[in-house]
Order: sequence, then structure tokens, then C-alpha cells
Amino acid sequence: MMATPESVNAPNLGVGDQIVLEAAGIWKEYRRGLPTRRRSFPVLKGVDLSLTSGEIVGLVGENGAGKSTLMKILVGALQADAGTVQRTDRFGYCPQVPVLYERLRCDEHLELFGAAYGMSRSELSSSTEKLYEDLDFARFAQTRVEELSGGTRSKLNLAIAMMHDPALLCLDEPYAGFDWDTYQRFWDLTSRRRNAGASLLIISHFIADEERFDRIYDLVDGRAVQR
Amino acid sequence: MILKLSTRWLAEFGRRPLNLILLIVVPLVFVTLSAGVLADFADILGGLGEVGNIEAATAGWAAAVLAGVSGFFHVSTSRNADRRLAEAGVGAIAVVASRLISTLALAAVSTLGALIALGVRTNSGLSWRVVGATILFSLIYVGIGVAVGALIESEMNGSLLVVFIWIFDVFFGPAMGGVGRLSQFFPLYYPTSVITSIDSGTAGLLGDLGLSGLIVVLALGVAVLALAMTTRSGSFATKEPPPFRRRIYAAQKAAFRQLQRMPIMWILVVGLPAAFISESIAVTPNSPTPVELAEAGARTLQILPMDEVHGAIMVPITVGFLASLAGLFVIVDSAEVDQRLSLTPFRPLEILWVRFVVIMSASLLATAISLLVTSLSFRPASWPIFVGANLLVALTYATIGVIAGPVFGRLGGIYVLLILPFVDIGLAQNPMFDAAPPTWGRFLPGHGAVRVMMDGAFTQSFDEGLPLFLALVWLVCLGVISTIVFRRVALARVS
Ligand SMILES: Nc1ncnc2c1ncn2[C@@H]1O[C@H](COP(=O)(O)OP(=O)(O)OP(=O)(O)O)[C@@H](O)[C@H]1O
Ligand SMILES: [Mg+2]
Repeated sequence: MMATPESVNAPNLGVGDQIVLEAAGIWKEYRRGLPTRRRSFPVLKGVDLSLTSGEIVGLVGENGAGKSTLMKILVGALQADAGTVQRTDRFGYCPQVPVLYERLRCDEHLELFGAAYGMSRSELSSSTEKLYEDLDFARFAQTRVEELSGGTRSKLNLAIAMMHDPALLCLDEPYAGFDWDTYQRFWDLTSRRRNAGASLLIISHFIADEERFDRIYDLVDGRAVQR
Repeated sequence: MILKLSTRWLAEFGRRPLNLILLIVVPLVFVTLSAGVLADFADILGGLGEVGNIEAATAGWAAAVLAGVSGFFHVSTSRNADRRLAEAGVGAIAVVASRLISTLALAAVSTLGALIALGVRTNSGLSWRVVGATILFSLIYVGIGVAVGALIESEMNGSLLVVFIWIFDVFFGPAMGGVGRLSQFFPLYYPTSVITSIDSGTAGLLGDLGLSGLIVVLALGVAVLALAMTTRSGSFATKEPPPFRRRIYAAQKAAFRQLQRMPIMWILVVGLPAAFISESIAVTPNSPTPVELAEAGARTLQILPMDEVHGAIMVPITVGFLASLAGLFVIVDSAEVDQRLSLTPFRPLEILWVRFVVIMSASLLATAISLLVTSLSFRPASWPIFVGANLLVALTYATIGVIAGPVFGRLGGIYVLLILPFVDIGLAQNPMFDAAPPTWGRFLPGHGAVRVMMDGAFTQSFDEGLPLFLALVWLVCLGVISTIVFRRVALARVS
């Protein structure tokens, strides 16, 4: 991807890049307490953010800043109070805490979600095989989620988000619980996807990750500020 | 070609020797162990009950269920391969014929096993009538198994269906006392008359044997047709089914697995009706109790034995309770991941449908077991109405369970569902407490269905049109509410 001199601050907004996600003026408050004494806590106060194909974008901020809330709104798992989201239909979402059926096995999850994404049988088997290998958990294919370690759950959680090779990947701290080796494999995997034209929005805490992102948004005071 | 194919398939089957052994051992065990027990059981139920006759029927039953199940799997597991084969130029006719021949060969083995077992048990030798009738049993179930195998994609659903048909056939058939006119429509009704050599008296011109033959032709005909339709080259066979069908199928399979791996559900669904109903019938005295019933258009007070009334009312109490718990558990258990699933092209209503099928299967099982336990000591005046009313209760309370989870949460939901069925069916609608339900009881969801149930239990004719209508209105309203509630759960757009 060629960066033109004018676009130094937004290296991937070159000509021909497609916008896969565009959010404007996202506002969200959580209401707490009894209905009579309900108080509102604004978490997001007008977030603007956009992603184009072929970039890895970081979303950072302290605990409780609203990163997960924002991502849920972006993928459509939560309704914003105000604002608009435009996004490709071909997306995958990896929630911060693994969301899995306790009594189903790894390959049963992949089979179900594969069918849900509309993958053909051959697409399913090749993608499943690759993800087992890339994330190194093939030996747990036949294990029920309730018997999996936390790290392996995270791997399955991530595999479900990526299996259909979507144009947009929204990953909420996907490598929490990964060992060092898997962490490296994860970044290999994401950069391969990026080079193939996919766009990734990744929530992260680690300063060490910063060099891996093409761009970074800081979420402070309910707004996303591009670094 | 046909010969080559069918022998190859048989060899394939025989490659796992366990399959072959089971095919012989199962009927042996079934006939030797069960004949006596079943005969006693049938006696209690007021069936034909002559031990020799029932013994002969057990051979037929064993042969039938094995023919059905092995026929089902023989077709179901090879459906795709068969289509490809037909496509590749072998032709649908050859493939279908070979499939049928190898299935019949398997059925022959299990029929032989059943007959040997019967021969050993009776030691008075087998009559030609029994041998012939056992073959009829087996052929009919080959037809059923193959047809189901061709038409139903899910292995679990299909094999369950075959087994369910067989259970109804056996336990509600003439040897066990019958279900009135309805049992005549079960496939083994006339063959059972043949094997027990007791005239059904309803066979008409053709006679029991003639009708049995006709059923064999019909069953095999449907099987061939179904197999041909789904094997024919250029049919929907080689194309992948449309995405929405594939995802519903995948989700249904997964949902049944989840249920299957939920031991508490099995303990409740199977154990509770057995314990609950038999216990409460046993402890109820046989003293008279007044009950308001509708007969020939008029409501009258009738005096009935209390243990019978208790036996009847325990079924909807148990069924309502279990159906609502199944609704609650199944929905709450997977709600969070269902939300995730609804971010894919899956529609919330499709997911609800999948969950509902599972809930209803569990409820149906609970209903069947409740009915079975009750039938040991109580025979309703009209089985179809009695069964139908209890299914209505199951449906109604299953939807209540679906609503309760998301509205009250898991724990709150359990409390509500411990109370509601008992207050509604166990108290308000219960004729043991009051000959007719109190006014407030008329506004509860179980009112109409329990009236219909009492009508089926104790009167010959159906006189509860208005209560039936009321029950259906409840069902529709609860169905709509549960749909709305579930949509909100699956979409989770509000927080
Ligand atoms: N369902 C909810 N109801 C009420 N408040 C909530 C809810 N979910 C989150 N919050 C609050 O909203 C704020 C933002 O939460 P969010 O999970 O988006 O933070 P985050 O940036 O992802 O934090 P972390 O780095 O810990 O994952 C927090 O103060 C949190 O307490
Ligand atoms: Mg978070």
C-alpha cells in the first residue's frame, strides 16, 4: 500500500481504499439505580471513528473508558443513544469475555457458526483446519468448552470471529490469556489478514503493541482521539 | 450392478462386527427378557393379555424396531454418497434398488434373531403364522425407517422419530389395550392382530392379514418413492441447501446436543413424572369426589373415584411444570451466545424456532412418560382428547417458560415456575379441591386446557368447545409475547 505525502497522519487513506466502518457522533449513557432515582452515566460522548480496508487500528484507553461499549455499538450488539454507524455486513466480532456454549465442543462451535455465516462445507473445513493450526489448539477440537482452559476458550472465541474471513474484524482484547507463543502467532495471523485487504479494529492495553498498529485511537472522556 | 452395490454396502456394514452382533443380540435379549414383563404390563393395561400371544408379538416388535432403526441409519448416513453415486452415472434406480436390498438383508438378520429368541423361549415351536407375521412387522418398519432416513436430514431427529412411532405402535397398540379408534391408524395394528391371532373385528373385507399386506406394500412404496425422490440425479441433492436451511439445521443439531448433555433435564423429564404421578396415585384413597363435567351439551355434577381424578390431574400438573422448566432452562442457558449468533446472518426468530423445537421435544418426552405412568392405573374415556389436552398444556407452559427466563432471570424464573403451574393447574383447576374451578381460576392460562383434559378423561364425547377456544387464545397470546421477549433477548440492543 502506497502512502502519499499528504496522508502521513492517516497512512492508509490512499486512493482506492474502501471505508468498511464509519461511526459518527456515537453517544451512550448507562442508567443505574431504581426507576424513581435513576441516574445516567455518560460513557461515550460523541465518538467519531472510521476504518478503511487493509489497516490495523488500535483502540486504547484506561479500564472503564468505554472501549467495549463502543465496540458493541459498532458491531450492533448494543444500541447507541445517538449517532450513526455504517459498516460492511462481512464482519466478525470477538467479545472481551469469551461467549460460548458451555456444553458444545470446539468443532461443534465452528460448525454452527460456519453454517450461520453461510460458509460451504469445504470452506468450513479448510478454514477450521487453518485456524486450529494458526492458534495451535487442534488437540482440543473434541473438548467441551466447560472443560477448556481460559486461554483455549479465548482461542475459540477468536476463531469464531475470524473463521469466515470477514472484511472487518472487531477484536476486544483478543489475546488476554494467550501464552507468548500464541501471542506471536496472533500478530502473524492479523498482519496476514491485513495484507490480504482486511481491516482490523483491536482493543488493547499494551504499550508494546503500539508499533503493530497502523493507527491508534485513544478513548478519553468519551471521545476517540486519533494519535 | 445392483447386486454388486448391495453386497458392497453389506460388507461395509459388516466391517464393524459390533453392528452385526447387535443386530442379533438385541432381539435375543429383548424377546427373552421382555416378553414376560411386557405380558404382565399389558395385563395391567387391560390388553389382550394372553401370555402366549404377547410373547409372539414381542418377536415382531423386536424385529420391527431393529429393521426401522438400521434401515434409517443405512439410508441416512449414506444419503450424500448415494446422491453422488447416482449423479456419477450409476443411475438413481440402481442406487435405490441396491439400498433397499441391503436394508432388507439387514432386516432379515434381525428378524431371524427375534424368531430364534422366540423359539428358544416358547420351546413349543413356531407356527408359520408367527413367522410370517414377524416378517410383516419387519417389512413395515423397513419402509418406515427408509422413508424417514430419506426425508429427514438430522440423524438424531430421524432416529428418534422412528423410535417414537414404534413406542406408540407397541404401547398404544391392541396388545396393550389400544387407544380406541386412533390406534387403528398405527402401522402395526392389524399385523398385531395377525400375530396374536385375535380378530381385530374392524378389518372389513380384506381381513387382518389382507390389510397387513396392504400396509407392507404401502410402507415399502412410500420408502421407495422417498428414496428415489431424494436420490434422483439433478435434484436438490448435489446443490448445497440454501443458507437459511443449513444454518437452522446446524443450530438444531447443536441445540439437541446441548440438551442431551444437560443431565439435570433428563433426570427431571424422565424421573419426575415417574416418581410424582405413581406416588400421588398410590397415596390417594379410592373415595368418591364430585366433579363438574360437560356431557351431551349440559354441565352436570358427577361422582368419580378420587384416585382416578388425581391420576388424571397429575398429568397436566407434571407436564406444565416440566414444560415451563424446559422453556426456562433452554432459553436462559444459551441466551448470551444466541445474542452472539444473532450478529451473524442468523435471524432471531430462526434461533427462537430452533430453541422452541428443543423445548417441545423435552416437553413431549415428559408428556409421553407422564401418560405412560398414568396409564398404568387410569384409563381415560377418550385417549385422543386426553393426550391432545395435555399437549396443549405442554405448549402453553413451554411458552410461559420462554417468557419467564428473560423477564425474571434464572433464579426468579425458577421460583415463578415452581409456583405458577401448581397454583393454576394444581389448585385452581384441580377438581379435587372444588367440583368446578373458582372464578379467579378462569383467568389463569391452564383453565381451558384442563377443562378439555377432564372432558377427555371422564366423558365419551367432546363438549368443551369454548374452553378449547380459550386455551388456544392463551396459546396464541403467549406465543406472541414469547416471540417479542426472545427477540429482545437475541438482539440485546437495549441495556
Ligand atoms: N451493562 C452496563 N450497565 C451499566 N454500566 C455499564 C454496563 N457496561 C459497562 N458499564 C460501565 O460503562 C463504563 C465503560 O465500560 P466498558 O466495558 O466499555 O469499559 P472498557 O473500556 O472496555 O474497560 P476494560 O478496559 O476494563 O475492558 C464502565 O464504567 C462500566 O462500569
Ligand atoms: Mg472492555
